[in-house]
Amino acid sequence: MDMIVEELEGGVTNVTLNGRLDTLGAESVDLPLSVIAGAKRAVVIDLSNVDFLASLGIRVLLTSAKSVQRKGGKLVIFVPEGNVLAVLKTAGMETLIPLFQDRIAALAAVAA
Amino acid sequence: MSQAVKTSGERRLVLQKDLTELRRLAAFARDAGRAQGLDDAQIFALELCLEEAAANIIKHSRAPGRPGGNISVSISRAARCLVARLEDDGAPFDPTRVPVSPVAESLENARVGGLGIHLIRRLATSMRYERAKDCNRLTLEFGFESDKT
Repeated sequence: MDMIVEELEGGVTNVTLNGRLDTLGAESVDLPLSVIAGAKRAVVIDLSNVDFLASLGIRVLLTSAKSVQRKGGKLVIFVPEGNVLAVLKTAGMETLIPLFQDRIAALAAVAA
Repeated sequence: MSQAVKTSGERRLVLQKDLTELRRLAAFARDAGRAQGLDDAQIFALELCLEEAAANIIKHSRAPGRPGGNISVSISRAARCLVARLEDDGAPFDPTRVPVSPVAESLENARVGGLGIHLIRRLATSMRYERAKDCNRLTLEFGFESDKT
């Protein structure tokens, strides 16, 4: 699974994941994502190029969101309508991590 | 324990108990789903439930003194549902006994774990476990309507 990290204006870190965030994909991004979550305070995770999501992937996202929140920061997810968003909702993530179907809105939500 | 339910179009796959095998399982689930005429969301649900069930088996059912082992997966169609079955000869592991975890109301209190079984419970119509002849057998049913008979 590919991961592209961009530092944007206003201290926003945009992390784009590409491919399958399944059990294997989640294992491969677990460490690099937790490093970002441990260091940054305004993070957007872009799942628009992720076509499959399993529980381990959700766990990695949840752990990262908790880690950013503990520092007083904010992590949100940009995820368009589709199966990946449906799984996040089924897992009950909607009430735990802000999910945006619009990229601009996601970036605005974390920008101070 | 024999099943009286008549099934058709059965497809079978044997996996080693290794997480790297999950990609092969995913491709198998997608092919079987397409062959059964499922739509994208249904194929996604089938693929996800099989991934979660197999990942749990790989993690939990390693038999002591018996590394490795296989998981036999089959997908077939019964009268009103699609039936996916996973059998393995590992240590007893009954996912249906994993307690239902309460939904967290805040990120702070959210616990990380038990999500895979939660997803299976939500996406499959039923989940049944049997232990017979030193094997675990997990049967998942999906109440998908199909345009193929």
